[in-house]
Amino acid sequence: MNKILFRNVLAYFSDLSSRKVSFYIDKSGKVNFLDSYDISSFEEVVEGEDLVIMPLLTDVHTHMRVPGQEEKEDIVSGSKAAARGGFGQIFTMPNTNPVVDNAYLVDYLISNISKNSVIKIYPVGAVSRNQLGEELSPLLEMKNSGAIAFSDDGKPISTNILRKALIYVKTFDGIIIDHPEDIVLSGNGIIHEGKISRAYGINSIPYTSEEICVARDIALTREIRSRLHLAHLSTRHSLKYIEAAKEEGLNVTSEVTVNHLIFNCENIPIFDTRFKVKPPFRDEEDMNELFFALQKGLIDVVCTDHAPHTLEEKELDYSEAPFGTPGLETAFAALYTYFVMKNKCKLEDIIKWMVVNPSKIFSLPILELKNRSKANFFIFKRNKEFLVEPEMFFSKCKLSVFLDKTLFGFPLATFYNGNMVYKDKNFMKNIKHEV
Amino acid sequence: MISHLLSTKYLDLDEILEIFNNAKKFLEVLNRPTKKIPILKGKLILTVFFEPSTRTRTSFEIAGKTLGADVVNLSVSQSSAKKGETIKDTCLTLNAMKPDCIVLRHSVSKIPEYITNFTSAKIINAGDGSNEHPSQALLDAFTLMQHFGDLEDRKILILGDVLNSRVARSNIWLLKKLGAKVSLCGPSTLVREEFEKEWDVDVYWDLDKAISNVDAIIVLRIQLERAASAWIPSTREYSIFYGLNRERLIKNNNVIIMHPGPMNRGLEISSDIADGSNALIRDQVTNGVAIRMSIFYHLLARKADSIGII
Repeated sequence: MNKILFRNVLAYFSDLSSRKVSFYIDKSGKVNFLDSYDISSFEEVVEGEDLVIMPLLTDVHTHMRVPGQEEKEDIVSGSKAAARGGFGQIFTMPNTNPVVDNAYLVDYLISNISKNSVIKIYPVGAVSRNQLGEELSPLLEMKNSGAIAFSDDGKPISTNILRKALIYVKTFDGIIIDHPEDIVLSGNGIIHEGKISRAYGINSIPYTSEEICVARDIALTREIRSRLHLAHLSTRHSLKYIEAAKEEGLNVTSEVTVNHLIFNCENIPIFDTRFKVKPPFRDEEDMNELFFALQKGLIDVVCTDHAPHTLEEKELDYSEAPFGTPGLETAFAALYTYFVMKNKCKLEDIIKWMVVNPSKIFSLPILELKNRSKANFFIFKRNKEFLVEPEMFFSKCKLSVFLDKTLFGFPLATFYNGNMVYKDKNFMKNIKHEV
Repeated sequence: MISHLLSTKYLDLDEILEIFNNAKKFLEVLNRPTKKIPILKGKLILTVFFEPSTRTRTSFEIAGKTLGADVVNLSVSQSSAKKGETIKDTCLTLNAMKPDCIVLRHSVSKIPEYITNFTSAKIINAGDGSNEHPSQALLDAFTLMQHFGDLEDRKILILGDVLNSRVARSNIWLLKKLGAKVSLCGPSTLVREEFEKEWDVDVYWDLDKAISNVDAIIVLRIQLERAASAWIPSTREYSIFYGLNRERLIKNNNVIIMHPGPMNRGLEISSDIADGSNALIRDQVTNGVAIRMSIFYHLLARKADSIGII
């Protein structure tokens, strides 16, 4: 890489401090902090009052759809989408075809990732064989092959298997990620049960579908004293159980998606399949309570639940189209636009929710700007607005819920492990995007 | 003026009354020895039913043919998705056949509204999921108006499976527009307490209380083939507590009884009530044809003046 000087740029760090820094990235991709410099010795100089450098984000919940559903996403497209969104490390869930429920498939994924990914991707192994909820998968073997955690995501872990899994992973301090949903209560529901489902007679998913499962999961964690992470919370009622669990000192953590902080069942077009997600968007009060819970530290992590599908699938009518929407590329920009710019939270909060807490919970490295270390950061410009258009997406799924909206905070460039893994076409004109 | 008939929510009062006034004239046509007027001559109407139906489809077919239109019926037993085709593609294909109007029934709420994006034909919602059945509501309200003159402050009770009923939803929105006071009664699983606040109606779970002082009762069919059966413990229990029979109506002799059909006799309504002098169930069927003629006229042939051709 050519030498790039970053001059007087505001950088944020994982200890939640921030300061103006000057540094250059050398040809090996290492960061070198500078006190004084001679501009003429650099191929490109990056400077500007509005430029901000951020630690790379971590997404503990994505679907790279590998193996078997590469028409929806693959490691190349998914990792580029993550880099475009400012992520340096992401988890990929095991509900693929075949299900990642053995060490062989974890090995396959890791080798595929090492060849094709521009960032770090950690496989999550299935808790039960074929995600059927009947037999435990070989969790220890998968862990030794590189599985970061275990989940039957896409559906809840059956009660008996969850109890066994929590007991089993205790020996190696493993973490179980559960998708809290009572699938009997959800039935064939497609939207949140509330005013809108009642007004139009649409099959719906009640609050209790999630709440019951959260209560069950916490009861089992209390019994076994193991580590549990609850995926994509959607209702305010789940939070009471989490609050009690935290007060008791149980090792329960949780996440909320960016989309569930911004959308509710009344501010979305009802029959637009881009907004068909599970759990469904609840009501405005839930949306607000989820955000308060994040601020209070009841919810630990913000994720995307990036769940791409093909255009053909999403063009089916609302009842037939699959659940899920992409989110990697727009997550940070959406949070920045909807919360930081509206003074509802600070950039430091986003660092807490998307950098520090995920790393703490899952024992991951923190990827940030460090002297004499490989460059790990993304840079954005505070007041630069972008119109969200399908052409901007690296993900194979371009049906973003933010299409045609104007967002701020899109990364201009992302550096991972010393490589520039994403660059906006108008940023650093003299530097070629090398990945 | 509406360009499609998708919901009773989108109709304004003048439009509703115009449809009713024209329906009165069409009713006269139906009573003539030669039941044919050429108002829609040369127009093509498709009835596309993704769910089985006899009475609604036949009623639309007779209405269209009486007005001189060509009516082609398509029964689609499987959903388009199961056949590997999206509803959008089905509609684009049908649209390429240049129909003037598509009468659509589908098991998914809001599909008729969705397909208005892909066709230049006028769309009539003949029932979408549990959402709406506007032509049924129009014929119900027309029948009530025929009987009462107007509906201002009339108390109308809708009895039964409101949760899963498209007839109930369309009726609630329409009857309230016409000034009626609407109440709902049924087991609490099918008549949710939230309806009271959200829809501005009275909710009863006790039928004896609900029927005192009402002017008319619209009895809904218990849809045994739908999920409704899972919301009630048994049909026997339902008929004991929510079946409309002579003993229940003893104190309210003048009440009007309506039912969209087909009836489950002995379950939601006893035979003596269904066939009794208070029932307007047969009138509903005849009025249904006139109302649907009026809807076709309204969407396909209406001019500023009234129906001079009749």
